[in-house]
Amino acid sequence: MVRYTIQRIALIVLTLFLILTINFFLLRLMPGTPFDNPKITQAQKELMMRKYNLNDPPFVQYTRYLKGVLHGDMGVSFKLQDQPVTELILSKLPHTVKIGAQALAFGVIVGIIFGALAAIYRNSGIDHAVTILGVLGVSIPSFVLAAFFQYFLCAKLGWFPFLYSPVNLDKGITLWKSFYSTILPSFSLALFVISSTMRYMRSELVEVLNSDYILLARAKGLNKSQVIVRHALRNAMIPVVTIIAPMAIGLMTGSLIIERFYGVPGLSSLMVNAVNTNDYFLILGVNMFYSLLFIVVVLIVDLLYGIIDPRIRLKGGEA
Amino acid sequence: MNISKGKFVFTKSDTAAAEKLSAVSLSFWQDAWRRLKLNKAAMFGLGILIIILLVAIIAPTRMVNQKNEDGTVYKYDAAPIILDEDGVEIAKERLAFLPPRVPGLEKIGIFDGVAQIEIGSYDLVIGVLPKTIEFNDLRKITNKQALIDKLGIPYHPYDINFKSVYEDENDVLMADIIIVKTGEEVTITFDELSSEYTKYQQGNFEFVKSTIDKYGIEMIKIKADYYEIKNIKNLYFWFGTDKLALDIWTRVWIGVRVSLIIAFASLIIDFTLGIIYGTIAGFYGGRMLDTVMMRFTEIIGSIPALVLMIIFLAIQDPISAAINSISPVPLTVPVIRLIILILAMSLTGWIGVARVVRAQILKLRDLEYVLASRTLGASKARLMTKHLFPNIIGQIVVMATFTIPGAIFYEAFLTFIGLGLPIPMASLGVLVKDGYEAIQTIPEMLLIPALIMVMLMLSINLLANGLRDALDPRMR
Repeated sequence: MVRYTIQRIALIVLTLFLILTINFFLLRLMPGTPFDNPKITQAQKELMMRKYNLNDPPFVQYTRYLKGVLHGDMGVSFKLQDQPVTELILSKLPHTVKIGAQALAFGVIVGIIFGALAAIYRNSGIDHAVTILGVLGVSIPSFVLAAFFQYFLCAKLGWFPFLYSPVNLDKGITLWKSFYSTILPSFSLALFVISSTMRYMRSELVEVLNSDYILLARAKGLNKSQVIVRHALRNAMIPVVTIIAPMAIGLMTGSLIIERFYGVPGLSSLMVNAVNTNDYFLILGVNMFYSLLFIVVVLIVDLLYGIIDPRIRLKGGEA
Repeated sequence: MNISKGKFVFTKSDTAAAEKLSAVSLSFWQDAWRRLKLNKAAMFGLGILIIILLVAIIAPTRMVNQKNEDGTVYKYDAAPIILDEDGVEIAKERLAFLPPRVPGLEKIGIFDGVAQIEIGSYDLVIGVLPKTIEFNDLRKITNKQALIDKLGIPYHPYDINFKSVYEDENDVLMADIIIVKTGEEVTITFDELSSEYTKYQQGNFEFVKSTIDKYGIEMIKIKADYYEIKNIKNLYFWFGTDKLALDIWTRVWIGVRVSLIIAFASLIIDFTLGIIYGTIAGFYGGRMLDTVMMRFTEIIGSIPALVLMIIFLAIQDPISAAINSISPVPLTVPVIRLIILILAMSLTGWIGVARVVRAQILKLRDLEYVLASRTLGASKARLMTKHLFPNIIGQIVVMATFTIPGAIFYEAFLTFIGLGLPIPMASLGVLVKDGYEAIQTIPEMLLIPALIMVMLMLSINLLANGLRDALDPRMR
């Protein structure tokens, strides 16, 4: 297990290095410079380029950037008043994480409950409803759902606010009010999580309920609810952990649009603006951050899976 | 006992006949089709899919305006040229931004060319100005500053408030306005509220309600028949038009085509690459080549697809130059943009395919029938194409079907963050994005393409579910 973990971490470092290198050199192919503005004269542009050492040969810039990264310095944003990239990302992160985490937690919990109900009452009305919801959930893109919500629930009925509002006690935005404004964005993202978890949970639980040890538990005289809660659910939930990683990635992608819809000051706007304004270091930083998040989530889930599933743990970590 | 000898005749024993199958023999695909037909949901999906495809093939060639004798064809990327009764071309402004209107349906109150809009009180106030030549010029939105100087009121919605909006004894809609700066109170009729800016003329709109929003701006909601306002009552745009006067009906179906082309093209690239890669790796499974190949996919696979796509699309200018230089025929800009989008989506898509194919090949490779064939001297190429590949084709078809909705989603997604196809090109993503921007005025502009997109994805998902069950040998 320890050896496996070390191997994986080594691979992560290698991958991140590769991503950084590829991104760095590809970005040099981007047309134009960060200072393409009709108001800026050629001389000013030259001055700016020199200020940020952008006239150096690419390889010199690359080694300098790499050194900086090793010291925890991801460079500064050209467009946003020389703010350090790390600071920019960290200031936007809480909003993105808040909505993403809410969507993931809500989606997984609801998905597990619905999936379990469908498996327990197999071929009943609940099961059919869950199947339909499952297909709908993967067929309705999050942004279409968000647009429908905004049109019907915000504009027509006025039940929810259009925009996300961060907690700000001076303006009278309490924790509750802020939470209320995150319900729609979180739910738009969560539908896809609910349907994936639900489908997975259902098929896993159906398989578990047909297994011999459930029959044994029943034969021992446990009643149905005890068997389900103590024997079946726990085992069925183990594999569900594995799909949390791909779902978290899906949420990241979806959140890029949902944040724009609901005006969330998160990583989305940072990323899109950076790409549109050739803000090299900011693009690099956000990309690195996304990659890191992605890789770490996958690693944690893999390790977690090894820990909670005794079969894998005892085999010696060949997860 | 007298039993006739005829009863003791040997029955015919025909071994050949006993071996004969009573049922018609079915090939793999015939059998799968038979089982697919039993799946109601999958058949429903297939039906919707076929309808959408048929409409997408036929619809964009619609001849439009019946009165137009030269038979104008609506284009997806250019405003239609329509002549009025006097044979004069109708200005684009009059055709732009119209709600849907369908003959027949308009009588029951849907798709009737009526839309509700909400506008700030200032925009209505501007219409109160006297209709003299002097003011006509000042009323233009470009002369805003001149108008402000002339009237001595700042252009700021906060500074003009509606006091009340009411119907007087003659059922004429009246409004009391206060100009905040001077405190001056003006009473006007809504009939006067006509200006180049609002485009609302007498009798063309119906007052719905007036509200004060949270910023203190008076918002007036009115309902108007756009076709009447713009004096084109003889025209029917089934799904309306957008801000560039492009016909949305045509655009939606061209959009379906484009989205499907993107999905299929990236699917073909993904699967060709993935199958070749996976087959080779699986065939040499466990050896050095396999290890190297799999490590490579692991590293590429651990970069989020999103990051790769964004980088790839950010540098599309040099890429399009490269594509142009290797292409034997000169390509137009839309085609290049399409190719780049397809390539961007294929950057990581093939990895999943390669992994599944490799795992399947690894499993099948050691089975006896492969060994038997190998013993008989079959070449590696023959083993791969004749014995291994046919056995994984079912799974590949299922995977491919599930990939299409994902590709449609990604196209729309990239368009939304500004990296997709540019206007006036049409794809479902472009249309949904356009519609979202107009949601307050003409919600149909969003709802129609969004619904078609959902229907398309839903039908393919249902079909894919059915195919998975039909092609899975364990379900037989």
